Parts: sequence; structure tokens; C-alpha cells
Amino acid sequence: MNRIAVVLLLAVALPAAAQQPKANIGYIGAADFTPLFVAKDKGFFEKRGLDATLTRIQIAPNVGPAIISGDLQIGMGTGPNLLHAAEGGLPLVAIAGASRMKKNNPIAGLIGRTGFAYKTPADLRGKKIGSPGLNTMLTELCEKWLHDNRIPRDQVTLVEVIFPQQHDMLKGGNIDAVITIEPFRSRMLNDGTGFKIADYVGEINPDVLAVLWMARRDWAAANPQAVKAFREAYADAIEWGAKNPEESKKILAKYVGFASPVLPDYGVEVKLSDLEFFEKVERELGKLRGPVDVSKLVWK
Amino acid sequence: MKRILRGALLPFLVFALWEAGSRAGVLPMDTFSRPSDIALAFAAGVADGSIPLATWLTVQAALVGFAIAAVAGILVGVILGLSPPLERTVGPSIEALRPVPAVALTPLTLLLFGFGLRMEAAVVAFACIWPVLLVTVAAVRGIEPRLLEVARTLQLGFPVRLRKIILPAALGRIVVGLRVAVSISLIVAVTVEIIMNPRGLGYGMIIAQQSLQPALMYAQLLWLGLLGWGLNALLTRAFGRWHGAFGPGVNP
Amino acid sequence: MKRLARLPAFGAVLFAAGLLLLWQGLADRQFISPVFFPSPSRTLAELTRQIASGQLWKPLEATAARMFFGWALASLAGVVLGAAIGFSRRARDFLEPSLEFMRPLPASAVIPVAILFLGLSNAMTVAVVAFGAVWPVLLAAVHGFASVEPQLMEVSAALRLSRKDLFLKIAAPSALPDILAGARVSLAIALILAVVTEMQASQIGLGQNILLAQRSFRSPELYAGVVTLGVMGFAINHAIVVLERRLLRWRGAHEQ
Repeated sequence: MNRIAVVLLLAVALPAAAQQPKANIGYIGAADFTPLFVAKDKGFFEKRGLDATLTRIQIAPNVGPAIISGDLQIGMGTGPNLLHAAEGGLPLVAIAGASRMKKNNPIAGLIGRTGFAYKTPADLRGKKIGSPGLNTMLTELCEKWLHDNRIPRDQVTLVEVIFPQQHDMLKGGNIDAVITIEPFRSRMLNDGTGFKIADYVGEINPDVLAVLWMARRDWAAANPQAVKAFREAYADAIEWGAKNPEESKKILAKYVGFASPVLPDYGVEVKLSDLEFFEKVERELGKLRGPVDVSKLVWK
Repeated sequence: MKRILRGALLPFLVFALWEAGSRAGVLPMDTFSRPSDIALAFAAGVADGSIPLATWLTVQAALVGFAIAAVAGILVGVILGLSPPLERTVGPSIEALRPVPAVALTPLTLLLFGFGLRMEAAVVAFACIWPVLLVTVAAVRGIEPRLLEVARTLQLGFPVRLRKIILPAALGRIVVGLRVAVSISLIVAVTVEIIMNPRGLGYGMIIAQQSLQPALMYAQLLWLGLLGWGLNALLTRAFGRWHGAFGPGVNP
Repeated sequence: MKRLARLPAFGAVLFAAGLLLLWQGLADRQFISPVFFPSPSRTLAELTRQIASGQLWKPLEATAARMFFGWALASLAGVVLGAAIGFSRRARDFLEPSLEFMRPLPASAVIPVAILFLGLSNAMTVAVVAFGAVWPVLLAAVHGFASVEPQLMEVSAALRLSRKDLFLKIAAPSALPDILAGARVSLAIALILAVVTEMQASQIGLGQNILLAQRSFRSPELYAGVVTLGVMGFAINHAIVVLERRLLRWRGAHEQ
């Protein structure tokens, strides 16, 4: 009798498992996605009913187009990404949060080159600042910080320097300061290459949504199960990570190839106020010109 | 043997200086890497299969794109070369399209084809067609007019004319264009992988760089150089016969 | 109408107009989202805006300068190396393997190394452009110098010409058509590389405009940049053709 029950159960369960919604999830090499890796590694996606494939993308700006083309179902993005996509008429929405930047755990910052005689923000006039990406969230927040400190944008030169090259560029004097995140930030501070100019994110807003998860509006509408499963699995992973920080870091290193002793804060919620904050910053800096209805960008 | 030794001298010197400079701390170490570390990273990449797979994916895309560009470029080039009025009509538009960097078209091809072989081959084909086209037109125009007259007198059909008279006469110069195109094909394929397509050696290089593994990145870069060299050597050998028959003499 | 049709430019303009209509048609059908594929009209509107506001000139100049200096350096290096290899078997043996190894390296992959050594400077971009653009000229020069007609070589030996005269009066003019053809291809490559370098190394220019437009999903700006590149390339190529025709006039006369 038991054997028949098992066979019957399998007969029912297997097709159901085979019908698990699928999602190809795009990420980049950063510590913001540790819960993603944990969810995959520890089977949380499976448990919650999502057949998840992870694809590492070269640079963040590629993720939006890849979601539109259908290669990715879910992909990482930031507030500004989403706003620009909306401005351009692309049907992308935020289905969940990935990580946050909190004032008491600074992950990003402006680091100055050792030897650069810096006393006040005004000393940045006429200097070259390395940015991991022009018109990306971290750089725009730094521009806001410069703006708040009354430094005209045209008196500072921003050049793109990707994270892996920032250390050498700073050391070699090619740039006077650099916008960076963990683990590169700590590395530069600890080996004497640079000193902290400002943890500027915290100065602007003590709790900022750093990275979020985007999807195409029509896909999200057609796959509520997948969206729910994704959110739950990610939340599970955040919880597990809080209890197992060392193993989390090992899993992170396995996926991105480098270790990060400091981890950002994670959060699966996306609040309307998170996006409204970015809208305000972008409009102030003149980066957002067209009309955008922010309320439509947060997926329920 | 002497030739091989001579050829190897310069690379040997460069690598020796590079290794010595790295060990002496003269070169920027953090992202640069030593030849010895690079060799180790390469060996590891081959052993775990990642480099062979990436190589196959890149070469595949490059060759498919090149093949499309070669066939299309030669065909259109012959037609335009034989008909100056047609060339004058189409030529300016070609000159306007040529400077468009293939990389600017990657978002477009991504949306048309999605990640994978097709988008990469499409971009490669776009980039490679121009040198083949240009050189073919010039080569066809430079064919001894009497040869073409003979073909007309014999009332040979176009395909036969193409095969027996036009191509053999123009091949020497067309081959130069093909060599350029092959190099471009590999370069463009890798560039597309660096900026967009998540597969192949270009993708591997960028991910290695982002994962703070510069030795692996340089291993793949140098391997790419070797690959291109090998591909070109193969081509030269394959087309060497024609070159001898119609091509230039060798000067001491 | 018939007289108009005989003008050589007329056919070219018609053909180009046809291509534009095709573009407009494809854009209107919206096979690809208009966010990524704008129509010619939107692109033209954006381009006009950039010209009118004066925003276009600085990036355009920067890209043109980068292209030109990189190309000049590449042509010089290509002719010198090409002559050495075309004439001397020994030079060929020493240099060819290393050159053949460097040729397939993409500029995108070489840029990080160039940045390390030359910093984020104009010198770096010119060096990278030259690195990528030297190959067509080099190949063509080798071909040109190696294929000087044997009869000319015999004549020069009979006349006991010095090496210098051999080069300047016999070899160089003989190789010139090939070199010029190579230089034309090289220039096209130099323009593309200037743009690619700007995209990756964050230098002011058309390439950077295109990149930033792409990131902000502003496709009319992207395509306006592409169109500008097309016009630039066209104008430059036309200039070279005129130059070529002038320089090779003596050849045409002799071959009559």
C-alpha cells in the first residue's frame, strides 16, 4: 500500500515540479547580491517553487535591454535605471529590493589619494574623480553631495574607472579621488593608498535603496507565482545570511570571485519613497527631463 | 630553424623583461600580473575546460560572421567592380555606413536576436564586410581589361566568368582584404563579448578582471593573440598557392 | 529629366534616399521598440538640436583629432615597418611573428594595459587607435614593397641606384597604390577605434555621447551620434579619394 502511495505521490509531484515557473536572473559581480547566491546555493528558490538560473552580466546598463529582449526575466537595477527606463517608455518595474545603504554601515564612499591635501569639499575643485560609471546611481549621489556642498559640477572632472582598476589608478595619481564600494573601499583604506573623504550617501539620506530587482511589466503580470517565489526565496536567504555571516561570505566569494569582509544591508522591500527620493535627486541634477509616474514603477 | 629562432627572440625578450620587472616591483602589480602567474592561470583554465569552451564559442561566432561577410562582400564587390555606374550609385551610401562602429549596433542586435551566437555573428558580419567589399572592388577594377574582353568574346556566362577569369585574376588582392577581415572578425567577436554577449573569451576576460583575477584575464588575452596568429597562419597557408601563381614576386 | 539623370551624383542621392525611406518604414512598423530604434525623423530632430545648441562641435573635434593623430602615427609606423619587412628577409624573420601575435588583440582588451602605462590621457587614446589602425597599412605596405616589378628591380640594379634612391624613386612609388588603399581602410578603422576608446576610457567625444545615450535609453541621441560618424567617415573618405587620384595621376597616364 505504501509503495503505491509513493508512486502516486511522485506521479503528482513530478509534473508539478516540472511546471515550476522559470526565471533567468541577471546579476553583476558585487556584494549586493549575496542573498541571491545563497538562495540558489541553499535551495531556497527550489523550496519556494522557482526554477532559477543565474547569469552574470558584464555591466549593469546591459541588464535593462536584456530584460526587454527576454533573455533575462529578472535583473538587477537601481532607482535611476528604472526612472530612465520609464522616461524612455520601457515597461520595467521593480518587483523586489536587493540591498540598501545605511548610514551606520557605509558601503560606498569617496576616497581621496594619499598625498592629496584635502581639508574641505572645496578642495575638490579642479580635481579628477574616478567614477565606476557616469550617470549611475553611486555617481549621481556623489554629484548631489558635491551640489549640496556648493561645488559647481563643471569644476570637477569625472572620469570612468571600473572597480578593479581603481586602486592602481588612485595609487598612480591618475585620479585624485574615487567613488567606490566595498571591498575595494576597505582595501584602499587599509593599505594606505587612500583616505576617507566622505561617506556621502549617509550624508544625503540615512537609508537608501541601493539595488533593486527589475522585470518586464507583462512578465510580472503573467507570472505572479514566480514573482512571489522570488521574493520569498530572497527573504529566506537574507534571514539565513544574518544567522550565518561567514558562510554567506564564502558563497559570495564563490560566485563573484573576490571576498568582501564587509557586507551591505539587504532588504527585499521596495517602498515608493525609495524611488521618489531618486526622482527628486535626478530632477535636481537635471538628469531626468520627461514625465515619470513613479507610483506605477513599484510592482505590487 | 634559424627563422623560428629569430622570430622567437623578440617575444622571449619581452616576457623575460616583464617577469623580471614584476618581480623587482618596477611594474604596477595590482592589476598587471607576472608571466609566470599568467601561465599558471592559463593551465588551470585549460584544465577545467573553461578556456577551451570559451575559445570555441568565440571562434565560432567570428568564423560565422566572417563567412557571411566574405561571401556577401566578394559578390557585391565583384558586381560593383564590374559596373562603375552602379558603384557610383551605391558607393557613397557604403561610405556613409562604413564608419558606423559595429559596437554601436550591439543593442540593436541584442533586441533582434537576444544573447547568443546570432547577435555576435551579425555584428561581426557588419564589421567585416567593408574591407572585403572595398578590396574586391579595387581588385576587380584592376583586372587587366583584355582578360575581361576575352571573357566577353567567348560569351562566358557570369558564374563561369566569375570562377575562371575574375576571381583568379583578382584573388591575390582580395586575399589581403580577407586577411584583414579575419583579424577584424576575431577582434569584433571578442569586443561584442566584452560589452554585451555573456559567452566566449571576451566575456571570460571581463569576468576575470571583475573577479580580481588579472592573471586569468591576461592569460585569455595572450591566448587570443595566439589564436589570431594561428588563424592567420592557417589562412596564409591555404591561400599561399594562389598567391604564388598570380601574386607578387619576392624581393631579396 | 534625362540630363539630370546623367549626373553621377543623382543616382547616389536616389539610392541613399531609398535607404532612408527603408529605415523610416522599419521604424514605423515598430519591429523593434522605438525606445531602441528611432525613426530617421526623430534622429534628424535630435541632430539638429545638437548642432543648433553648439553641443556637437567639441565632441566631434575631439574624436576627429584622436582619429587623425592615431591614423597618422599608424600610417607612419605601417610604411616604415612595411618597407623593412617587404625588403629584408631578416627583418621579416625577426618582426613578423611578434607583429602577427599582436594583430588580433582587440583595442577593448588593450585599453586597460594602455591606461596603466599612459594614464587616462590623449596620448593613451592616440596610442590605442594607432595600435589598432596600423595593420591595414602594414599589410598593404608589405605587399606593395614585396611586389615591386622584377623588371624595375633589374633596371635599378643595372643603373646601380643607391638604396635610398631605390626606395624613394622606384619602390615607394610602386608601392603607393597599395599603401594608399591600406591607408584608406586604416582611416576607417581609426575612426571606429577612436569611438570605441572614448566609450571605454571615458574621454570626451562622439563615442562617449553614444555610450551615455545608450545607458539612459535615449536612442535618438545614440543614432544622431551614429549618423554624425557616418557623415564624418563619408567626408573623410571622399577627401582621401581625391588625394589618391591626384597622387596616382602619373600612374594612370603611364598605363594608358
